[in-house]
Amino acid sequence: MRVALVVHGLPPHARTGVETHTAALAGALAAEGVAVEVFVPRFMPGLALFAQRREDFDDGWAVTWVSVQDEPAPEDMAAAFGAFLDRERPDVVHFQHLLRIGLGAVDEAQKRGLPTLYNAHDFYPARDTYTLMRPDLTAFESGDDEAEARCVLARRFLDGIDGIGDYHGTVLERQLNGEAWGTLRALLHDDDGSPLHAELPAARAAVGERGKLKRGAFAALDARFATSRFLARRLSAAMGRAVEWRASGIDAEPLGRLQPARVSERPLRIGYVGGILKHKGVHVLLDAFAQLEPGTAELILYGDSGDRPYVLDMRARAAEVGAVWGGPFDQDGLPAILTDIDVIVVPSLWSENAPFVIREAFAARRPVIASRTPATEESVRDGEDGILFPLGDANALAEVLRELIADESRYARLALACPSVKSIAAEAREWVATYDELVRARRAATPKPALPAHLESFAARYEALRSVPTRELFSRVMEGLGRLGSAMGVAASPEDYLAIAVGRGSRLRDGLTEDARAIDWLTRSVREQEEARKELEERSVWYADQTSGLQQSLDALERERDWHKETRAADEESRSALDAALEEARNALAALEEERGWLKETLEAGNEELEWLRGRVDSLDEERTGLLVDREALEGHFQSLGAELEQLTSNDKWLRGEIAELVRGLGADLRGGGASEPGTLTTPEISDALTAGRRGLARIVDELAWRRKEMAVVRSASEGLFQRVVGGSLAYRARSWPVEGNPEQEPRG
Amino acid sequence: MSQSVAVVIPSLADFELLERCLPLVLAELEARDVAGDEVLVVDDTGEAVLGAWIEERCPNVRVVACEANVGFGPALLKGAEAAEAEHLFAMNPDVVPRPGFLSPLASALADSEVAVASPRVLLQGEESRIESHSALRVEDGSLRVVERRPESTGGAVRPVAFAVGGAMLVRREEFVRRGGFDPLFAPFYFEDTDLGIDEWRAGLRVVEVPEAVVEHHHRGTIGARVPEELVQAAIEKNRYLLYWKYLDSRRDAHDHLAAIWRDALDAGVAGRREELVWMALALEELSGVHSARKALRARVRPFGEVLRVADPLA
Repeated sequence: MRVALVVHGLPPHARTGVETHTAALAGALAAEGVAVEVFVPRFMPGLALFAQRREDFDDGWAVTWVSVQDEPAPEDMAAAFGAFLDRERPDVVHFQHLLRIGLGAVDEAQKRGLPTLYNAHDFYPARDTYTLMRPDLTAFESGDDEAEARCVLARRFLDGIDGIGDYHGTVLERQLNGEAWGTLRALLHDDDGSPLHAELPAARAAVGERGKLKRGAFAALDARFATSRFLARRLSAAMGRAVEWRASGIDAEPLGRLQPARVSERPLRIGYVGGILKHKGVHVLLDAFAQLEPGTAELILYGDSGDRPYVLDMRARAAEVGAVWGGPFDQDGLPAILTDIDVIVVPSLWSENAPFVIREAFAARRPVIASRTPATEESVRDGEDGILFPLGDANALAEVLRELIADESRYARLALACPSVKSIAAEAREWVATYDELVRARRAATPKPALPAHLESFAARYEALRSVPTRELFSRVMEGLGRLGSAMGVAASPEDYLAIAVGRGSRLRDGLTEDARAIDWLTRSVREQEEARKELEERSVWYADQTSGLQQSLDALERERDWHKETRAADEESRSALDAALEEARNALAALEEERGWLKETLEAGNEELEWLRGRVDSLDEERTGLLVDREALEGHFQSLGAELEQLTSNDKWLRGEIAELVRGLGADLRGGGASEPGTLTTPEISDALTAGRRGLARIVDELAWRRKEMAVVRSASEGLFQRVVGGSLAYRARSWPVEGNPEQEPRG
Repeated sequence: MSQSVAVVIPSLADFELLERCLPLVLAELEARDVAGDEVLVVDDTGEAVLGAWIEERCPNVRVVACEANVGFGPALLKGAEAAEAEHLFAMNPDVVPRPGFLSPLASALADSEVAVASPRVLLQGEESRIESHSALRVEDGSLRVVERRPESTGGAVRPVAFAVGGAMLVRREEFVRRGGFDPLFAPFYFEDTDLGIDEWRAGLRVVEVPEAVVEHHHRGTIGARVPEELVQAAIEKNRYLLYWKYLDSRRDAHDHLAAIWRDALDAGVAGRREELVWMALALEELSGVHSARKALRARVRPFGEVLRVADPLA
C-alpha cells in the first residue's frame, strides 16, 4: 500500500499541531508497512517555483517538498501535485490539509482514478477563514457567507496597513490606530462606513463561487473525516456530506513515562505549548498571569509562528509579567518540556477542534485548563481532568489559577483523573484499514477493459509496472540493464555508460540545448522588448510633454469656448427677449390693424348708414310732407268716414229695426195675421213668406258685412299711415348713432 | 506442377472482415484450381463462435476452434498443424487479397533458398504505401524497422527483411516443425520480423513478389480491441527483445547497452515513465531471450550482414 499524505507544512519548517501530527502519522503508517510519500509546499530559496525535491526520513517515509512562494497559483499547484502523483503512484491520497495547495489537488487525484479522503483539522473544507474568526477576533458561523465576504475585504484593508507584518488574518485593537480599527470594525459589522463597502457585492459573489468550488471538491472525495465530533457535525451541516469522527492519536509512549508533577511547597508551574498566534489567546493567558500573586505561580511559554509582530509582542509582554519565554521547540523535546510543567493552559479564542496539546498533557498526566468551547468540552471533562473557563476571559482564568494554587488536593485529583489517550499507532492502523477499504471499493467500481484472454497476463505486467513509482521503475531498469550487460558479456560499469551518455549526447542534452536556445531566444526577445519598452517609455514621455502642452492649449481653448458659450448664452437670452417683444409688438400691431379695419369698416358702415339716414331723412322729410298732405286728406277722409260711419250706424239701426219688424211680421203671418187671415194661410204661402223673409234678412246681413269691412279698411288705412309716419327702426337708429362731429346732439327720434 | 496452399486465417469474432476476405480467397483458389488448396479459419475467440457462421456461408472453409483465446501466433500454428497443403499462406482477416495473388507466391517458393514469400502489401490499400518493402537498420545503438522505397516499384522480385505475418507464404511443414513464431514475442508484433531475420541468418532469403498484391487494413484486428498504449508497449518491448535475440558482436552489444542506458537515464530524469515501462517489460524477459538465442539455428550470416542483404535496395 502506498499513500500520499498531503499537508500544508511539516517539521522542521512548520511545527504547529497538524504539521507535527502528520509527521508522526507518516512514521506510524510506515511502521505499519505503508509506503508514505508526503506532499508539502514550502518556500525554498534558490529553487524555481514548483520545483520538487524528495527527502527520505529515517523512520521509513519520504517527503516531496514543492517550492512555493506566498500564495501559489492554483492551476500551477495542481499541476505540480499531478506530477507528484504520476511519479509516486500512490494507491490512495490522504489530505490532511489543503492550505496553500488548493482544491485542484482533489481533482488531480480524481483524474488519475485514485481514491481520496480528507481528514479535517479545522473548517478549511468549508471556509478559507478556517478558524471562523474575523480579523478583529470575533467569531462567525461556518454558513455565514456575508461574514466571509467581509473578512476578505477586511484582510484586503489590513494588507494595505504598514507595521502589522504578516498578521495571520487577525489583529488586536492595539495594533491599529483608532481610525483604522474603526474602519475595520465598520467593514466587518456595519452596513456602511468604509469605502471598501462598495466592493462587498463582488466579494460576496467571489465567496459564493468559492463555496461552490469547495462543496464540489468535498463532494468528490471518497471519504471525509474530522478530528472532533463537533467539527464533524459542523462540517457535515455546512457541506451537506457525511463526515466521520476520527480522533487523532499522539506518540504517547515517551510522555507516559513522565513522573506525575508535584505542586507542594513551590509555585504552580503553568505552561503554554503551541502556536504563538492571536486566535490561540496567548495574550489572554499573559493577562491572567499578570493578575496572580507574585511567587505563587510560574509561567513558561513554548512555541512560535510566522506572525512575528505578535510573537515579539507576546515575548515582550511575557518579560513584563515575569513569564519565561521558551520559544520554538522540537516535538522530540516535548517530554522534557512537560517535565517542568504542572498544568497546561489552552486559552484559545477560536472554537478549537481537538488540540493535540490537551492529549499530550493528559498522556503526561498534566491537567488542562482550557477555554470553554464545544470542542474543548469534548476533550476536557470540566472539574475532573481539567477546568474550563469562559473564552477570552483573563479574569476568570486568573481566578481558576488562583483556586488551583490554593487547593493542592484539587490539582492532585485532576492529575489523577487524566484519561489515557489514543496512540498514533492506533490511529495509523485505523487509517490502513480505511485505505484498504477505499482501494478495494475503487477497484470494484472500476471496470476492467475487455481484452482478449491471451493479452491479460501481458496487460497485468504492464499495469503492475505502471503503478510503480518512477524511481523504483528506474531502479529496476538499471538493475535489468546490469543483467543484460552481463548476459552479453559486456563488462562496462554504470559509470562507463554515464560517461558514454555524456560523451555521445542524449535526448535530454538535446532537450536542454533546445531549452537553452529557447531561453536565449526568449532572453533576446525580452531584451528587445525591454528596449522597445524603453523607447516606448521615452516616446511616452515625449507624448506626455506634447500632451501636456496640448492640454494647456486645450484648457485655454476650453476657457475661451466657455467664455464664448457664456456670451452666446447671454446673446441668446437677449435675442429671445427681443424675439418675444417683437412677437408681442407684432401681435399688438395685428390687433391694432384688425381693430383699425373694424373701425374703418364700422366708419364706412356708419358713413353709409349716415348717408342712408341722410337720404332717409330727406325721404322722410318728403314723406312727412306727403304725410302732412295725407293727414289732411285723411282728416277729411276721417270726417267723411265719420259721416259715413254715422250713416252706417244709422243704417244699421235702421236695419235692426227692419229686421225686428220683419220678424214681428213674419211671426204674425205664422200665427194667421198679415195679408191673409191669421191662421188662414196655406202652407205654401207660409213657405213663400219665409223664403222672402230670409232673403230680405240675407240682404241686410250682407249689407252689414260690407259696411263692417269698409270700416275695417278705413281703420287699417289709418293705422298703416301711422306706422309709416312713426316707424320703430328709424326711431331706434336715430337714437343709437350720434351724428359725427356732434356727439352732444340729442338722438333724433 | 503448382504446389498446394493452405490459406490459414486466425480470427476473432471479426465477421465483417471474414465476410469481405473469404469470398476473395475462395475465388482465388477456384481460379488456381490446384488440388489440395484449402482454406482454414482458426476460431481464436475461445468460444467457437465462427463455425456455424462460416459453415452457413462458406461450406468449403474448414474451421479450427481454439479452446481459449491464444493470440495470432499460436492460432496460426494450430491452423498450420491442421492443414494438409504443402505451403501455408498466413493471413490476417484484415487483409484483402487481390485476384491472382497466390500462384506467384507459390512459384517463388519453388526456389529452395526462398524461405518466405511476401506479396506486395499495400497499407490501407494505397498504392503508394508499400508495407512489404521492409528493411532493418541499427541507428544510434538501437534496432529500427524502416520502409525502403525502390525507385521503381515494378515487377522484380526483391529481397525484404521480413514478410508481414498477416500475409506471407511459407513451407507449412517447416513452419510447424519449428513451432511457428517464437513465443518470446507474445502477445504480438515483431514475430514476423523475427522469422525473417532467422531465415536470413540461416542463409535463406525472404522476398517480396510484387505480382502478388494484397491490401492490409492495419490494426483492423488488434487496434479495435486493445488500448493504444498497450499495443505500443508490446511493440517497444519486442523491439528490444528482437535486437537482444540477434546481437552477435561485442561492439554492437556495447553500443546498444550504452544507448539503452542513456535512454533510461533520459527517461528517468525527464519523467518519461512509459519508456521505462517498455524497458522493464523487456528486461523481465531476459531469460526468454537467453532461451531463444540458444535455440537459434547455425548462423550463416552475421547480423550485420543480414541487415545489408535483407534490403529491398540491396
